[in-house]
Amino acid sequence: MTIEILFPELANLYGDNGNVLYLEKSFPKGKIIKTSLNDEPYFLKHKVDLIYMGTLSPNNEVKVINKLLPYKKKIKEKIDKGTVFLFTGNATEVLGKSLTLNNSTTVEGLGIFSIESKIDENNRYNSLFLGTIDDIKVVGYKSQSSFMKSDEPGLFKVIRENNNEAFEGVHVNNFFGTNLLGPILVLNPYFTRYLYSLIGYNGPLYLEEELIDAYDKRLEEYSRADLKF
Amino acid sequence: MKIRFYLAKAAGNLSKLGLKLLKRNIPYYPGYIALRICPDFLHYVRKPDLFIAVTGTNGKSTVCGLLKDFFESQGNTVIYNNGFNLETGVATMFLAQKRKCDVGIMEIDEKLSGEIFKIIPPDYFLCTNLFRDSMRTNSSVEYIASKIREGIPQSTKLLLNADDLIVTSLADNRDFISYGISQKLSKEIPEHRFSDLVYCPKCGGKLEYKDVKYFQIGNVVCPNCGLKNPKRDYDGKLDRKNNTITIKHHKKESTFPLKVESIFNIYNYLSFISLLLELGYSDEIINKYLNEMKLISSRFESKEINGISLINHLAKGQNPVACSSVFEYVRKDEGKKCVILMLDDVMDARNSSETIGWYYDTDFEQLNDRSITKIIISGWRRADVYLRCLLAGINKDIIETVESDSLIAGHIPHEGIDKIFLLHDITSYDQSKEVSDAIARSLAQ
Repeated sequence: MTIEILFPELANLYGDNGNVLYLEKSFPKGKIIKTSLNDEPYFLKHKVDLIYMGTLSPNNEVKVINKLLPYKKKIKEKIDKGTVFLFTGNATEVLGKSLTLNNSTTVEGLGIFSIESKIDENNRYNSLFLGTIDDIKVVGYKSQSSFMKSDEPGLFKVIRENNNEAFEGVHVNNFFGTNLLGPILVLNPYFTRYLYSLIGYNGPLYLEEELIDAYDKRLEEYSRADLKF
Repeated sequence: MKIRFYLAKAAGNLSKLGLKLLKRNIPYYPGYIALRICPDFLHYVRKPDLFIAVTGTNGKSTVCGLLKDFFESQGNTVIYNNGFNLETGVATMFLAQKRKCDVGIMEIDEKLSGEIFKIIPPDYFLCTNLFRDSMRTNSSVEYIASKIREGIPQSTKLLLNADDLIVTSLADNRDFISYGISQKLSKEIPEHRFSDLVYCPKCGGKLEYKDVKYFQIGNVVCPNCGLKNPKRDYDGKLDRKNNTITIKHHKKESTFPLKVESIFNIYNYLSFISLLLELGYSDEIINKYLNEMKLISSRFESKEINGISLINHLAKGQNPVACSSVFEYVRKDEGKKCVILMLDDVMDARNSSETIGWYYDTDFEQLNDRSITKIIISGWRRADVYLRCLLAGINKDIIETVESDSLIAGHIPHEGIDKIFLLHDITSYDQSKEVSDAIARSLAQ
C-alpha cells in the first residue's frame, strides 16, 4: 500500500492531521510518503494507491497551486485512470478554475475541475453535517471562508447542514473532494471502510470497535431534530 | 449623540443592579445594554492615564491579571475587563470607571483588536503569541495577524514576543520593543502535531529552527533571505535550579523569582516584567510584588492530601497549543500521575455539538508516558477523547471513561500515584472545583 500525503506541513488546518495519523495507524507496513512543498510529488514517477491533501490557509492555497501547476496533466490523468484521491476542507479548490481572494485578487487554479471559489475571510460558514454516500451515513462539520461554485458531480448527498445544497463536495471517478474538515476518516468508519476497499484493503479497521462506538453516538446526536447545526 | 452615551451609561449601570437583584452572573451584560442604546459608546469613553492592551492566542488573561494586580498593589485606580475580551466586555469595563482611572488594562480578542484600537488607541500594545485557534471564528493565523496589523495606531508602543515571528510581523517595519529568551533551553527540537510557521513569511524559504521553546516559539532563521528573530530588548535567561529569570536590558541585568514552571507561563511572566521595566518600575518594586503575589486560581490550584498532590490546571478547549503545552508540562512533572481529562468546551457545544478537530492538532502523545499510570475521561465527548488517546498509543488498560463528573472521584487510585492532574476547560471551572473537592474528600478518608 502506497499513500502520498501532499504538503502535510501546510495542508493540516483544524484537525485534518487526524486523517494522516489514522492512515499511518491503518497501514503500519504501508509506504506513507509525506511530500513537502519543496519536494517533487511522488505520484509523478511512482504508482500510488491513495493521494491525500488537507485544509490550507488561503495564502497556502496559492503556494500549492503554483507548486502543482506544472503537474496538472499528470494529476488529471491520475483522476481519469481512477487513482483514489481524498481531499478535505478547501483542498479541492486548488484543482478548480479560479480562486478569488477577499474580493480582490483572482488566481487561476489548475483548471482540472469547473470550480470557481470565492474566499471571504471576514465571513465564516460553520455547520455540522449529516449526509450520505450510497447507503453510508456520513457525519462531520464544515468551517470555511470559501465557497465553491461547481458543475462537477457532488460527493455527499446532504441530509442536513446549514445551507440548502442537495450535494456537497466533488466526486469524479475515485476523486473524493469534500468540504468537511477534521479527522473524517476517524469520524466515519463505514465511509473509511468503503474508501479502503477502493485501494484494495478489506480487512477490519484499526480500532474499529471504538470508531463505531464514537460514530454511533455522533450519528444519534446529529439525527436529533432539535440539534442546532 | 452625547445624550445617547449618557443614557447608555445610566442604563448599563442600572442593569448591573438588575443582575444583582436577580442573582444573575452575566458580567458583560451591562456593556451589551450600553452598546444596544449607543452603538458608538466606546467613542465617548474617557481613556485612563495609562491604557494597556494585551492580545495573543494564549496568555492574555494571565498577563492582564498580573498587570491589574500589580497596578492595584501600587495604589493605582484600575479598570480591567477581566477576561471578557469582546466589545461588550470592553464597554462593561468602561462602565465601571466612575472617575478617570490611573490605568486601564484591556484584554482583547485577537480578531477584534484592530477594530477596537481604531476607536480607543492603547498607549501600549502587548502581543504574547499567535497560533491557530478556534476554527469557527478564526480563518487562519495569517488572517488574524493581518486583522491586528491593520488596526494598530501609530501612537501605540508595541511590546512584541521576539521569539514568535508571526507576532513580530505585526510591527510591519515600524519600531517596537521586544522580549524573548535567546538562551537555548533544549538540545532537542520537540515534535508537535503541526507548526503554524514552517516557511519564511518574507521569502517563502524553509525556516531553520535552532531552538524551539514550544511550537513556533524559538530561535529561527531563514537560510534563504536571512530573516531571523529581532534582537531582544528584554532577553530572559532562566535558572531552573533557583527558579529565577534574569533579564538583560539596557546594558544591565535584573533577576526575578518565577512562581511558574511551564515554559508558556514563563513567557507570560517575561512579557509582564518586561512591560513594567519599560514603564520604569524598579527591580525592587517588581521583586517585592512577585514575592508577595498569588497565582490566579481559575488557572492553577494545587493542594496536598495524604501525600498526594491534587492539581487543577486549565487546559483551554479548542486551543491545541494551550492543551499540548499543559500535556507536556504534566508529562515532564516528576512522580507517578493520574490524569483526569474534562476537556468539553461548553461554549463551542452550546445549543449544538462540539467539533473535535482540535484533538488531532493537540499532542495527546505527551500523555503516552510511563509516569502517567491512569487516565480518567469524563464529559459528553468522552468516546472521542478515548479514541484520540488510543490513537496516541496510550494503553487501553490505563484509561477509564466515566459517564458523569460525579463518578470521577470513585475511580481515583489511592495508592501508587504521587499526583493527580485535573485538566479542565475554561468553561468547566466550576464543575472541576466540585470534582476536585470530591477527590479531596475521598483521599482524606
